[in-house]
Order: sequence, then structure tokens, then C-alpha cells
Amino acid sequence: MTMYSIGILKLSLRQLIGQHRLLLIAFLTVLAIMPMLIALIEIYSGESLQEIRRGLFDGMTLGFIIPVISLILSATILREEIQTQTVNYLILKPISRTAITLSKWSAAMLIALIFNALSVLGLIVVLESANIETFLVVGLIATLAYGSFYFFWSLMIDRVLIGGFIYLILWEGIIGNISKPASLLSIRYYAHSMEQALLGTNPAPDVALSNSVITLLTIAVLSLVLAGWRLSRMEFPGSSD
Amino acid sequence: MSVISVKNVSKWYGQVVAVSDISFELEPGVIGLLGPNGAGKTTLLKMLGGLLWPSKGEIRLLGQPIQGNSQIYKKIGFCPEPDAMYDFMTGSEFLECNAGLQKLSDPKSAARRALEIVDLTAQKDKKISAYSRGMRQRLKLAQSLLHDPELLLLDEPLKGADPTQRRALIELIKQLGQAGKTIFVSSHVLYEVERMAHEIIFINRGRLVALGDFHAIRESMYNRPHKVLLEVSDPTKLASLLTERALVSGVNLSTTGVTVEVTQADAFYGNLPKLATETGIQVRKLVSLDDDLESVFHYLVK
Repeated sequence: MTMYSIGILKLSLRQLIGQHRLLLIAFLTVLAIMPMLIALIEIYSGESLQEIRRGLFDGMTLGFIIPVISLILSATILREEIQTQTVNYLILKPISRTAITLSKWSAAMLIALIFNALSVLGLIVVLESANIETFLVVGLIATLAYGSFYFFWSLMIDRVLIGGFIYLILWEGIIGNISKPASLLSIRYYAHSMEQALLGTNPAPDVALSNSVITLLTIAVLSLVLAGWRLSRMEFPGSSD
Repeated sequence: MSVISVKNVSKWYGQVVAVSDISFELEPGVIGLLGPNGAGKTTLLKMLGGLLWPSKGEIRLLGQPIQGNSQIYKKIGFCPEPDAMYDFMTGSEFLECNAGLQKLSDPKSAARRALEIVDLTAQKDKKISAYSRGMRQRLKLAQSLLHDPELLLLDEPLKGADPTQRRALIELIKQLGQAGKTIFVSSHVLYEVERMAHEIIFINRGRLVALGDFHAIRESMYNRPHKVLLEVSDPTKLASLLTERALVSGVNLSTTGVTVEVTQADAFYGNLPKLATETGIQVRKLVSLDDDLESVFHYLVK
């Protein structure tokens, strides 16, 4: 039994690319570049380029663009099919549910990684290339963690987009900034720690580089495993008769 | 080995029982699944298709369990009731995509064949979003036929089709049944089920009410008399004789004939020719008014 379906990958990429969702993602990517143009003005007014670059990456790219693009793609890739019941055409095929999970997840991740990488690479265009590999690695690992996390939750709750934004704004954005224990339960905290460790900031981050990377990858792998487990036990009642 | 084997299957959601302790075994042919709205038809079909798991009991298709057995879908076709499809595709692309997922060696020719079967070849390059409801219905049926399955599970396959298409689809389903396939089809339209199914399953409130040939089911309902309309030369005399000889339990005279209620069909049909010969009454027409699926359905539901 194969553990992957190229057919589902192709179908999912077409679903993602052929719909309005891609326009929104492209808009967000452009949005990530816009503050950099504003930053150029600040550079000419004498601010440190390094600080501006970090501020933009932390506040805009890592704090908003990466989690939102990951949310929009990975939370809807399978949930929408469940809601519209087109998932029947996947479930009722000689394809294991594990293969459906992996194919759907990888389609969402592929597009999310491309667009998130583009939003990070926007830093090169506007603010030169120093430390860009650090931002790129952090951005891609954060994409895997956020994407897998939202993918799993999309199989657990109906309104995952709303839930995802609440997590992002309320938990990571507000509560995580106020409470240290709460921040320990956020993806952003470990992604930020990873970035600080790679840049060698002073003071050093609370969490060592290896621990941040392991935590983010564990979140990604665990979420994917749980998503596979959830789909393998899922029922599709749809409308009643 | 039965094609479909359902043993003591129940399905409940919390306190709500959707299907209650149903058992049956089915052999090849066309089997109609009937029941009023909310009877549990779709729940039963979805359990057979593996979209729902039984809370209790066991389902085997073609001798195999369904749960965790995705390879069984190489032999099963399912036409779901919901209208949802990949609307951004053309009809042809949709079928090719499904044939690819079905892992067929030549998805294009499988799609072409299926389009021909459901008479959608002329519309194959149209986007599904521009399809009429009847066309969408035929496309759904086509995707279930792509891999020439041994067992077809069809949930309301004729919904939305126009009368000509309905006739064609009924003929197609009958032909598939005659070719040795097993087709389990649910429908609200009793007339259509009567035309295509050789066997029926009635369910009501999640329980199996009757299973088998509907004429045989009708015959077994002794407490429900048959209504027979007789157009004869002397209705009054015939009504009187039938009542006198206790061959009927009720009569209703009209200007053209007499409608009788028959409790013991064998005695009635056995004695009627003899009675007509003895008395010289000419029988011009004899029509069974309730020996159809709809009557059986209503009796069983009541």
C-alpha cells in the first residue's frame, strides 16, 4: 500500500492555485514587502539597518505573514473538502487515509513554503542580504510548525480559520507577550528564540538553539501524526437522510 | 459468499439511534433501498461505503471488511447524494482525475467510456459549475462506473435528471444488474425503484421492516386486503355473488364496475373464472389497484 498519492497532490495544488485563495496569499506576500519600503526611508534618516531588518522580520514576517499564510493554506486544504463533502471522492478510492493526509499536507506546505520564502526574500530586495539565510531557515521551520499545527486542528474543529486567528492574535500576540508561561506554549516563542540564537543576540535567548529547533520540528511531526490518526478514525456523516 | 453482508448493525449518535440492529445478506442484482425521510437510508448507505462506522455489528462487502481496507474501493463504486464536485474542472477532467485516483492504467479512455455511458460526451469540456443538476447527477454516476466495479452503491442516483435521462439511467442500472453486478440503490421515487430493482429493502425509523421481492412482501401482508377493480357486464350481480361466497371482504360498486377487497388472493383468483362462466358475467378488465411498490411502502410505513 503506497503512503502517498501524486494524484491528490496534483488535485490539491490545482485547488490551491486555481482559486481566490492564491490571490490573498500573493497579497499577503506583497504586504510583507511594503513595510520594507517604509523602512528605507528610516534608513536614510539614520537608523541601524540590522535593527530595522530584525524588527521587520520579527514584527511582520514571523509575527504575522508566515503564520497567516500557513493558516490559510493548511487549515483549509482538507477542511473545505470535508465541509463541501468532495472529500468523498478521495475517501472512496483505493488510497489509504495516511496517503490522503500526507498528500494534502505536503500540497499545502509546498505552497506555504514558497510564499513564505518569497516574503522573507523580500528582505534581500529591499534591505540587502545580510543574515538573510538565518531569516530564511527560521521562516521555513516556523512554516512547517505553524502549517502542521493548523492542519491538525482543521481536522478537529469546523471553524479552524477563526480558531487560528484567535490563537495568533489573542494567545501569541497578547497573552504570550504578557505571560511568560503562556509564551512557552506558543510557536512564535521558539521561532523567535531560534532566530535570536542564530543571530547571536545579546542577551542570549532563554531557549538554546537545538531546543528551539527540536521543539518546532516536534510540533510539526506530532501534528502531522495526529492529523493522520484523526483522519483514519474520521466519519463523514454529511447531511442526514 | 454474499456480496453485501450486514450483521446486527446499529448506528447511534449520542442518544439518537439512526440505524437499529439491522441484518441482511444480498446477492448480485439490483436492490432498492426504500424508506421515508429520516428512516436511516443514507446512514446505512454511508456505513456500507465506509464513510461511517457502525456503532455495533459488522459489515462485509465482497467477503471483506471495509474499515481500514481502502483497497476494497477498487471493486466498489459509490455515487454520493450531495451535489458537491470539483466545480473548477470540466466534466472530462473530473472523470480523468477520479480515474487517476482509482489508479486505472488509462484514465483518459476510462473517462471517455464513462462519459459515453451517461451521455455526457457533448458536454465533456464544459466546466462543472455550468452543468445543470441532471448533468451533475449523471457525472457523479459516471465517476462511480469508471473502474467497472462489482458493487455499486447509489444514493438517489436519479435526483435532478429529466424524464428521458431517468429512463436511460434506469435502463443502465437494470443492464448492470443483469450483467451480474450488485447495485444497491436508494431512492424516494417508488415507481423508479419498482422499475429497476428485483429486490427491495424497506427501512423505517432505523429498523429493517421488510426485505425481498416486493410482490412477495405484498402477498405476505395478510392483514392488508388487496384492492381489485373489475369491469364486468353485471357489477351488482358479481358483487352479490362474491360477498355470498365469502371471496371478498368488501365491495364498492360504481357505474363501470366493482372494486373488491380481497383477503385471500389465491381463493379469489382461483374462483373468479368459474363464477363468471357459471353466471355468464363477462369480465372485461381486472386491475390490481395496490399491488405496486407505493402501496406496499405505505402499508409498511403505517
